[in-house]
Amino acid sequence: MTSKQQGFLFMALGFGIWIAGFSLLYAVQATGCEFAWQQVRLLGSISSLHAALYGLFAAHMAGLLWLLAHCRRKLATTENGTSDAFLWRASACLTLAAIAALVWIGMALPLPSVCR
Amino acid sequence: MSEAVPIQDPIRLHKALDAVWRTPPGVGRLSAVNHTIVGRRFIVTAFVFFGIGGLLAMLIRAQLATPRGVFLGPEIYNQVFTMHGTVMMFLFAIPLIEGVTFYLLPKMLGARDMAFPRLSAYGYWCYLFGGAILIVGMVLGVAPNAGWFMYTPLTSRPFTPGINSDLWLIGVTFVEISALSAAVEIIVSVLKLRAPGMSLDKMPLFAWYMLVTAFMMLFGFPPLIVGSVLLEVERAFGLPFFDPNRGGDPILWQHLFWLFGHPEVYIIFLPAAGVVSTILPVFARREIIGYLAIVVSIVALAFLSFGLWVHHMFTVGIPHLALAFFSAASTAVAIPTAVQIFAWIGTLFAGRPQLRLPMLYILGFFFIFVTGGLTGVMVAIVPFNWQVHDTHFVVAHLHYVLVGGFVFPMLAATHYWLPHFTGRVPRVSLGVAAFWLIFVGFNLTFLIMHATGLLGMTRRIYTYDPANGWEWLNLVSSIGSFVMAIGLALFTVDVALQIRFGRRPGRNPWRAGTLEWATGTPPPSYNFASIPVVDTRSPLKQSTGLAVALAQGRGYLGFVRDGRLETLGVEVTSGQVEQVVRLPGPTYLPLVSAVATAVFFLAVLFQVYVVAVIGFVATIGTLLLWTRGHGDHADRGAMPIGHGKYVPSHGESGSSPSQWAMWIALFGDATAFGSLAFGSLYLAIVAPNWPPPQLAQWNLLLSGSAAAGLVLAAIAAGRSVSPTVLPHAAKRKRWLFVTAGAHSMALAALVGMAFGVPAPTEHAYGAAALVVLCYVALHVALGAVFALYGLWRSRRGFVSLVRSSDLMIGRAWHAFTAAIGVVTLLLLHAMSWTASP
Repeated sequence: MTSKQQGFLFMALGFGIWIAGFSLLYAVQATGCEFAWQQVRLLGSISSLHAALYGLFAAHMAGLLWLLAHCRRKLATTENGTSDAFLWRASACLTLAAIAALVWIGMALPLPSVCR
Repeated sequence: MSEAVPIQDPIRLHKALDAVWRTPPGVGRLSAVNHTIVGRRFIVTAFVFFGIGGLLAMLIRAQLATPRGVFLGPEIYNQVFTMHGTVMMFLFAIPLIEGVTFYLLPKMLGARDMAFPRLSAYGYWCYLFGGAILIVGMVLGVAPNAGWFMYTPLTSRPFTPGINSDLWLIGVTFVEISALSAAVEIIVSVLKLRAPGMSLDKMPLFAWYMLVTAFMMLFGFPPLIVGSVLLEVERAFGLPFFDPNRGGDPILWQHLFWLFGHPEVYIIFLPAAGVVSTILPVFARREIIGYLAIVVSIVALAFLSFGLWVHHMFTVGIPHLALAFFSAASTAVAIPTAVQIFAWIGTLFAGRPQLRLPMLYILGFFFIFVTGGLTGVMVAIVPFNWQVHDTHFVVAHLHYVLVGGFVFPMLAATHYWLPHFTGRVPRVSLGVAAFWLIFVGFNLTFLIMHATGLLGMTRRIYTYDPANGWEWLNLVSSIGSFVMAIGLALFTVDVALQIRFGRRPGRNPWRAGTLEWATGTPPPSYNFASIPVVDTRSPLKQSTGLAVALAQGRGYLGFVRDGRLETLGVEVTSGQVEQVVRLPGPTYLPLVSAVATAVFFLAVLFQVYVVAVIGFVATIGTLLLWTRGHGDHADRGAMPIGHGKYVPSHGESGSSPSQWAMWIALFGDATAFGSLAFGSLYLAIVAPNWPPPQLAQWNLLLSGSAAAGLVLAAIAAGRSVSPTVLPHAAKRKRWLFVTAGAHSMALAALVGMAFGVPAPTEHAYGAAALVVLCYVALHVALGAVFALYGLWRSRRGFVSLVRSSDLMIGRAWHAFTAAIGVVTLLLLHAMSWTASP
């Protein structure tokens, strides 16, 4: 796969991670509530459901941060003004936007009413 | 190696090309596959449906003009508002997008047609027949009557016993074939059929918009189709997917519907935004500002739009945390939308804008769409949403978004591209008067509706009490709607006058930079006499003589070779020439296939299932006939394309559009399978009245045989295209035989497993297990057909080491089938585990 093709695919990867994270957060929240995971306490006051949600959030955020670093590295090695640079710049911007979007929805995670 | 001599005389070149590309007159027009003709048909038909939908809107407003109105009874009113929504969403908006895209895209990209012209034609006939089913139902008084979203349990058999809901489910699913086929075709055309040199960053923005929209259609429509099939199966055979008494859940329908329904809003908006991004810079007389920012915002918008669907379900009783997720995503979507709006405003500020008629509509779009966007942010906030849910406030909001964000840009597009369609510009324009009537009428109708909604007036109720104090508001709303209708009638007259009496301008009357204006107007059947090289986003701005040079055959492929229809295929990202793509000429086969498909759908509607099976087999059979005469019996090697360049035909390139189409279609298929798997797990985990009274006792021998057959088929198909096997016909055939045999074994095992499913009408567990098994079994059966087809093509000499496209397509199918088959087996065992007490 050429650098251009990789750059094009990576345009979808940032928000791909975001949509996966978003869907999993919703799915785990619904499943956890169904099986009463919120009643199982871990580390004092944190429920196992909250812990699972924080874990998912952190895993997806880590993936996005790695992706951003990768896009920036690739961008630094491509010649400015080329279509290659365009695709990597777009990928970096989209990953940054996906990080912002994940933080924005993640701000709801501390809500205590997980299942109500 | 084929030789072809470029023709330098434009008239001779035109005659030579037109002889192979043109569509026969008279009855022969039914064989049309050319994108210009098919695109025009989509557009005209969509506007006819727009007229029908508009008339229905007038009936609604006539009924609501006064309290306790007696113009329509409740049953007719239910049918009218349901059909208004259905017609506007499924028969007007999406098909109009398809039509505009089919017509414009190849011309903007510097190609001679779409990648799969017969698929476009088939999609058109499916759209026409599916739409006709719905309209005939309405004329006969049995139209769908449960709202365009078809919520269960209202639409389940006990509450809607007639044929009304079946008409919707069957008709809309039939129409969606055209949307899915268009999605695949648009993606492949944008990625593969561009002018040489047009790298992705040089593409016109409209192509970016359509590429992203097509992906959204590919992932957005399958959940709706799956939901429709499940509901129809429940209604016809009693399998209780949505019946909570038997382990189903009506909320599952809402999830499947809105998984489609919310992205649908952006599927409608994005192409219109593409139109704005194309037209606005022309009248601002400068390049658009923020090309990169716009591309980024389109992609972001597409993804975010798939994370909003639950905001249509805020009132069904969802935990606060989930509400917060979807509320946050719903507000976030405003940001990429705003990026585009600021890019357009910036372009206008930096340019020297001209207020021509298309710009008037674009300014109207700005005002109305931004208002709709602001109320969109309001309804994204949960407490406000709870207050206005199912009121006229939401009706006003969605009309501001959809009419502002789609109809106004499309009216601008009509005025902008009509000279291209007809070769005429208006002598006297009624357009300005029409615009003001539409604009004022629209705002009179819907601005006021925000107030009636806030005052508590609910949607979808045919009457209201005079004591509520909504009388004058509703009367003004109704007057406004008739003003708007008069404006639209005037618009139609204006268009008709331009078509009939307009004067003939020179080429490129707006002095635009995009390639569609390099063709003749109206365009010839082949678009470009020769194909341009593109190294800028505005090729006509950079080279004003480009159109003449192309007509003189000074680009690529400025000749006719062997009487075939040829265009160029490029590498996806760089736009470097990769292959000569040979396209099919006019044929009745798409029409025949669509008639066979119509037989299938009508037979399902009237529950004549033997005929349905015949229709299905006939559809597959006629689709296979499309491949007749397609391909070469011998390797041709690289062929000249002009300017001393040689490239292979697409069948020998190793990266043919057909292979791309298969992979992309499988993404859509995977989404459908994912929706089905999601539905099954959702029922197992969330639905009431679980566990089921009886669980399946899966026979491990049958499960193992199915898994072994599926995996063996995929491995054998892979072997048949390996470099060591491909050159040897006998070895190739042997592996293809193994593929077909393995599929037969898997099919037999799956059928055996289906017999072990507990009574599917008694509980959703059995129903879900049976449907998932049937889904895989259908893929396995089609896999056997693919293997036998590969065998036949191989035997007829269409396959060699370099001509392996047919087998590569089959290999992709077999690998996919094996994957979903194995996942299904795991899913069935997981469901049994989850459901066990």
